[in-house]
Amino acid sequence: MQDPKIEEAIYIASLIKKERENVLSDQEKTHLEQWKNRSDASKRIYADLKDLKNFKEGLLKLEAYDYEQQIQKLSIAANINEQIETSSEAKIVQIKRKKYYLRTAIAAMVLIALGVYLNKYSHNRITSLQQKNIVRTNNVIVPGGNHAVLTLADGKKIILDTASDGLLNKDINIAIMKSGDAVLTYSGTIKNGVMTYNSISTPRGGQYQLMLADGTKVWLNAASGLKYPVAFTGKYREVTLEGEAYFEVMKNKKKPFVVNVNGMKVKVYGTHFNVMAYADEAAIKTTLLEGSVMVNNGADSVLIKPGQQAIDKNSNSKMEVRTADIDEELAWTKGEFLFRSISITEIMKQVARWYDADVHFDGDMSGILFSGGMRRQQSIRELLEILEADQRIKFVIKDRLITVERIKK
Amino acid sequence: MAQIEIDDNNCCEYLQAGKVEAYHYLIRIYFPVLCNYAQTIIDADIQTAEDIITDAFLKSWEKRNDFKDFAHIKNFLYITVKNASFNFIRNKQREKAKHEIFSESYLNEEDFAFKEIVHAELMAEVRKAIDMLPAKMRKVFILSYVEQLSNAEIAARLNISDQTVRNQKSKSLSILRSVTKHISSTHLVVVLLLLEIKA
Repeated sequence: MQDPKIEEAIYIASLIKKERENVLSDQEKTHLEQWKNRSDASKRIYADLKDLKNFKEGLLKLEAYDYEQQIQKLSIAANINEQIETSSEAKIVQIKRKKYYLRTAIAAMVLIALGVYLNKYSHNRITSLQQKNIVRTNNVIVPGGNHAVLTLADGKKIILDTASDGLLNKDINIAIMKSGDAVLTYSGTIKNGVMTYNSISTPRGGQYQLMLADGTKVWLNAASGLKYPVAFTGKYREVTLEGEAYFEVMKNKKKPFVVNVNGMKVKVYGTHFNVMAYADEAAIKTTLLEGSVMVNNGADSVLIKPGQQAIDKNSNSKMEVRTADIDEELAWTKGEFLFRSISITEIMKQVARWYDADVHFDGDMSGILFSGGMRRQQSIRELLEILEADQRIKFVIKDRLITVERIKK
Repeated sequence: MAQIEIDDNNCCEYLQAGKVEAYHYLIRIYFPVLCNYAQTIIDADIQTAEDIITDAFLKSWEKRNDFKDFAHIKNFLYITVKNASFNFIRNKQREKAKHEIFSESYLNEEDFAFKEIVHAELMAEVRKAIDMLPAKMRKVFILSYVEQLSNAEIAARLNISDQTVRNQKSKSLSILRSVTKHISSTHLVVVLLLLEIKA
């Protein structure tokens, strides 16, 4: 049993302790700084822990706690103290434990549904692949995973889920490596070569990571596709995106990196940003974390700063620039869903893409908003149960079709 | 029977040898800390939190022979308590219909648990240090350095003389100081810095 988050928290605690004792090594100092600068959340945590009043109050509360009573109880329950072996208290604890297991078992229940599936969306413009059949082995709705298909320059397709780790091609100039943690890496250069393109596409319920030949990292969300040159020989580093991806572009002042998406261009030199451009979403959203990017939709062009977002609703008009909710926009890259006052229709679009389900709405859904978050690896049932909890809507699942019904008051 | 002095370094070994003192040490330091941790997550009555911690400690006793070291035990306890706590709120959420919001703690489940663990760990460090003090001295120490009462107030509350309070205070600091010489730990420094006591 492991939990990297917990291990990290314990490690950070030990660093903070050492920091106060003034015995941090240089390396530890760097680790602590890196953690602090990682997010606003970690900065907040660090500041909160400096609050001595709060800390002392916590300690006082713990001091007042009667641990002797717990020692006695546990000794009985764990059968350590032979003298009072068969006390009735032991039974109480045992019963409580059983209840716990039962609850956990219920929580672990997964929805099972059988039958045919319906398919409403198509996202095959880049690769014209029917990978749904590859990923979709039965009609149980399960969370997505690392699924993608790579199309080489000669049109050959490689299903990355089943391809073995290691070199995928035999080109002497460009090496394409697949590693176990679902990352595809390009390396090498081509001199005076013709631009050759590869493309990668994820089905609904899929995601993948890749590192392009220039060192740029790309996280591809579900139902998305990216077309890119195997080596960037031209004046620009140009790629074409469908769907959603998060980019960490390698700095290169001489060669701007350009993302073409639905007739829009996002131009950068080296920066971290997310582009969300699903065909079934109302607007293309470009969200910037670091550096600066220029977004051009043909009619308008805007420069956005870190923390901002460019909204392109219609490629023939002006774009809107606003402050972005970075946590919400980037939640998917951390394996999470995060919604802040988001309508049920918007939420279900994400659900459809990640769980590879189809959604039908029955009744007026206006004004039904939700806020909350959840791991993307949770079962769909858990998610739907939470959404049903306040009894405004209910879900009917038939095969892969989820019908959302408004509950009439 | 000679009293065994348990600390982080020998706790795992003694636990595997079946020494209850090691188990008691673990409970003394971590039961209140974890209980507080669980309670912050589940936002429910203390009884529910205690059930979760009791369960985790029972499992840790059953599993004692699988542990590699103290860090391993600690990890196990935190993971078990965290999972049980979040399971609890998930289940509660289902039982009780909530309007608009799933739950604040859902919102930042990871960040939230993270902060509480760091907090818990730092408090555990102080608890380990003051665990070395005799019960009465511990009380004086807490009233003085944590609750920040004056010597006169402490004297009145514990029904002892002003002079006794002063003695106990200086003695507690010297005990902590001498302890740090024997063990490779820096408990005194921790206490001083975490509580910002001018010694």
